[in-house]
Amino acid sequence: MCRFADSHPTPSPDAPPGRSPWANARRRYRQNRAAQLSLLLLLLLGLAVIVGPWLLPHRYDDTDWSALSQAPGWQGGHWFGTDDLGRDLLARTLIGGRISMLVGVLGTLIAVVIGVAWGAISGFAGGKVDALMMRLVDVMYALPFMLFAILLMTFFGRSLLLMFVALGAISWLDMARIVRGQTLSLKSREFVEAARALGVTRRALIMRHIVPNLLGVVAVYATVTIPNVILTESVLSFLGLGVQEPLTSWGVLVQEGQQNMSSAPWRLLIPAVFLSLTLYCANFVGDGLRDALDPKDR
Amino acid sequence: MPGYLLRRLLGAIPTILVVVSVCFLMLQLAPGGPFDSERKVSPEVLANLQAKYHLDQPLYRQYGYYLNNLLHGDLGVSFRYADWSVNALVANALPVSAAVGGVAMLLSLLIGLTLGIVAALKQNSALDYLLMLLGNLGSAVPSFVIGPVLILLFCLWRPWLPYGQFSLSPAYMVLPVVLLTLINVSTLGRVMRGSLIEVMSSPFIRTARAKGLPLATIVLRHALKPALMPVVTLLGPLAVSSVAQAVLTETLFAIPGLGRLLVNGALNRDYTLVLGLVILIAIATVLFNLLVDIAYALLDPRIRY
Repeated sequence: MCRFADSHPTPSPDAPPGRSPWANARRRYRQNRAAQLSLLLLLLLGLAVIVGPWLLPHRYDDTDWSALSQAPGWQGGHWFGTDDLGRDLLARTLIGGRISMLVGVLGTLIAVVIGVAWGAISGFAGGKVDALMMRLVDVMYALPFMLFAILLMTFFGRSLLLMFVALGAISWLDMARIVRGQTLSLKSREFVEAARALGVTRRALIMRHIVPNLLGVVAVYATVTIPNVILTESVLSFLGLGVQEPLTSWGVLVQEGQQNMSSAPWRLLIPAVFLSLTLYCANFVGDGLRDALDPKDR
Repeated sequence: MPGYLLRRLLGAIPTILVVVSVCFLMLQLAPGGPFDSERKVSPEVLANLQAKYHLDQPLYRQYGYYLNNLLHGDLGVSFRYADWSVNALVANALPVSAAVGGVAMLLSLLIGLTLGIVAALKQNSALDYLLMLLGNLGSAVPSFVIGPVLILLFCLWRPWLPYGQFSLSPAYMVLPVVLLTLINVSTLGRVMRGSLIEVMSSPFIRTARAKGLPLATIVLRHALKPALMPVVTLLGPLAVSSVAQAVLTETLFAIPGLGRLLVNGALNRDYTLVLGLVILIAIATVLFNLLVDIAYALLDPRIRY
């Protein structure tokens, strides 16, 4: 698994000798229909939330007084209906999706940076430093981190930036553990020993030789982290502690829908379907990638 | 064993102290004070209020006061609910949370483990697929979506169950318990299934089979205990995640439990209430994880303590 970095130019898939691990992985992923379909759906959803809001006739914060709480239909161009302020639900769902996906990706990036740094340093240093750093991770594992996200969001205002930080800060624990494990096995490999023998500094060893070889594993676990971050964001937003009006996210929309579900059930169901579909597909893609890149886990 | 217990208990103290300190500092750093409200209070009154709550003292003194009170089991008074101490608020909310959460936990263990065992013994049967379906559903549809849909189905479209002002009666508890159980059953069931399948293919089970023991005896006497080990390890993370689930469920169903108290406290910037609750929940989870570790050590004879 650690040999991913030395990938060769891809040979044709039907030439059995000399296939690179990447080509193998790609072939395994292609065989996974569910994962492929999910990837396609996810790309479509991503495209929709990025491009969609510009193409729609209504803006997400425009109020249409002639169509308050309108049910889905063709009337007035509100295909997914409107909320009680006459705002187009399709536009709001797409904008909400933009925020949710953005939070998912950026939060994961933060988690990756912290997790890789923490895990690589801990695994590379070994001994007491390693024990202390991993003990800290264990301690944090045992705490309900949702509480701290809630605390952060309330006491330092509910800004989008802070949300990225809070979400990243609570999602790096798994990453740190995985990276540490990989680092431990990389550390004793010949090329690291060779580099060490050549007098490469410890910093350069970690940055040039250890971290690049971790990228495959990190990429896989990052895809698994994204849906989790999206989920946490929507939970916070659902509780009223996340994204604030007039901006919106899928969690906020579900919460608003839940408040109005007796009179306007579509307001709950439409964003809920979008959110669930995204999480479902992202989970499939993550699992597919993991199976493709790490067949040992099966 | 007593030595091990003592060591583990002492080991938990720094963790708890770190939690308390971080919470305390975080609240101190937060902008805005508890008396910054729409209506301006005259400076004299403000000074009196601050003196009453020691807010005029330096930070380390405030921290000292708080720790001292904490050690005496006093979480302070609420900043928002007039005439309520945090202890009293917790005392009111805890039984509600415990009742709902306890019933849900028992049910999830019972159903999840049974489902896992049956699915492991009859792979690819209908129950096996049900478990897989539940797992897929749980991983994709968040509980705060399942919850409202349940309410929509069983309270609004088919008014079989009451909805609104919560009271501790079975009718009101059905949906929250069902929701919490649904979430946990798939996780517990899948872990149980996987670990039992593994144990059932190990040599000592083959020996038991070769001796001609009936399947029930093999599973209950020989396979179940080793297969339960991964489930025991799962209980710790499960308890941690159930805190978040409790917060969601209680908000959703307007259950006056600890989770709702926490969210309301956070939204109202009720410093002492949130601080007290976070510390309480953190201590509870740390102790629970400790119990799980000890149970693990007791169950697995290979572990030396």
